[in-house]
Amino acid sequence: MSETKKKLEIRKPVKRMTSIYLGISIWGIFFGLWQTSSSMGWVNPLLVPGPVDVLEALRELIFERSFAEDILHSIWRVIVSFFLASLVAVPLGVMMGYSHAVESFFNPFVSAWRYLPAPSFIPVLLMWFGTGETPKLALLFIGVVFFLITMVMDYTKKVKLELLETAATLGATRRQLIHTVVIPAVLPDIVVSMRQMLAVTWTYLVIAEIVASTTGIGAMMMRARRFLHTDEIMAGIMIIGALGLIFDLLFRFLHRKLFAYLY
Amino acid sequence: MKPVSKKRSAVSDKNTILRIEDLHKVFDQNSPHPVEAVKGVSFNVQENQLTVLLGPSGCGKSTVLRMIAGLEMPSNGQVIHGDQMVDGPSQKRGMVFQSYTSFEWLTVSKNIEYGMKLNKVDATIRKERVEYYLELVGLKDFRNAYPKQLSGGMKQRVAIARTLANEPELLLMDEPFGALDAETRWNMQELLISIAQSTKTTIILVTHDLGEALFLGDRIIFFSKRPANIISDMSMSFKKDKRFSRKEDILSEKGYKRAEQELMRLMRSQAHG
Repeated sequence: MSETKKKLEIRKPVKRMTSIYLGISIWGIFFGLWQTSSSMGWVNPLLVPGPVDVLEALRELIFERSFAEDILHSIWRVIVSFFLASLVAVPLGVMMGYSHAVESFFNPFVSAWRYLPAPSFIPVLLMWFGTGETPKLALLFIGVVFFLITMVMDYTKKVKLELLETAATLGATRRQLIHTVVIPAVLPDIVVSMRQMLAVTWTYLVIAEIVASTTGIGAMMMRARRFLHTDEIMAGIMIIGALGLIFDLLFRFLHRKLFAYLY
Repeated sequence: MKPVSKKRSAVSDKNTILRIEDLHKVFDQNSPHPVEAVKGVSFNVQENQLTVLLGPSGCGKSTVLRMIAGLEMPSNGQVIHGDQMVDGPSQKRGMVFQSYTSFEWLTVSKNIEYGMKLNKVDATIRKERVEYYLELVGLKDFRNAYPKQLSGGMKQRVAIARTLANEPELLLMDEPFGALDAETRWNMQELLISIAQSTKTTIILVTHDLGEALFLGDRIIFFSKRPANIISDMSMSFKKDKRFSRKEDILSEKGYKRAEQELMRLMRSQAHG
């Protein structure tokens, strides 16, 4: 290939299969290095067990102990709290993005809350709600809802004014504008912001379970720490990563199905 | 009804569909830097005519159109459509914008049907009209396509069909072909001529393209640079009340050259700087 041709290769897309192989190889290298360093005794096996040991620990946790229950419990917490947060954030965000009056009323409140780190509420949540499910769900809710409101609001504001004006000159009432233009126009972006905020929910879940829980993935990891079971902690991390990835893929899939007209 | 000024209109009163009376618009009126966009614009529009509002870019002619649509409120003066003062947008005054406004989540057919659904037009009539307008703008084969799959010209066809299917009394167009390439624009201009002929819709079109104004307009109203006021109101009498379906046919008309020269002179007089 000539020199000029090579220069023009900048930012050219690679073949789909090539990109998949490349994506897999980085993980291959990562696990390879990890396994090698533990097999060769470069690292303390107590602190850094190899990937094979971690997978063995994961198998044992799931099939011989009750880790599957913990996983389900964590998923349940994420889904319930995220559902509640979306239930509040999506309609409110759309209204704030659509109406200046609604925005002026809520926004000073919402933006202030965004700057308060949700984990700082853990002590008071524990005092209010005890040690049951409520404080955990509340933490996840607080951690996500204000960001989600803001994202939905910003996306709603980006709906092109000409779309609304077109609808108005076709006879749409204010109500019809919301139902037939604003909501369908912003819905794909709402699903995107939900996908992004779901990742954040997982972060708060682990914090909640590590700090104040006897069930769930985070709690299992804290128990394992007490007995120096590093392999189990790492198994927990792997599961969280895998679950996060699965949820992300689910949302991507949903986006493609629901909004096929965009692809 | 207030008598129509003889100077502005030779056509009798009963054909007047729109009266624009001493329109003013100042943006940011209460700010330290108010912007005067429109200054004392008055004219009448006759039914079934294609009126072009022409003027230098940014002169405020679009603001005049937006006030006619009811999308912008005049700071002073009024727009009277039929026998009602315009105080907001309405399906009687459909608007086509320069930027693409197709609803991405609806197919071409559903886009065209949209306004009729809002206005609770009977389903069978809706279907008939969708078919009619799909045919009129040449999008029959794309009825089930989504806007994402369409070219710019096709998106503007959807916008025009969607507005016409709603049967507005006035079709307002704000530089509708401004974003299209030269060939497509020419195509669309000829389409608009044939639509104007077959549907007898009253059209007001804003443009800064002299050639477009000359080809499309039955009448050309020329605006000064900002703040916009009317400098010239020309009836394209050389067309003798007929519309030319092909752009090349108009070029050999005697009156064409004269009108073109006159408009160019006006353009130069209003050039910036």
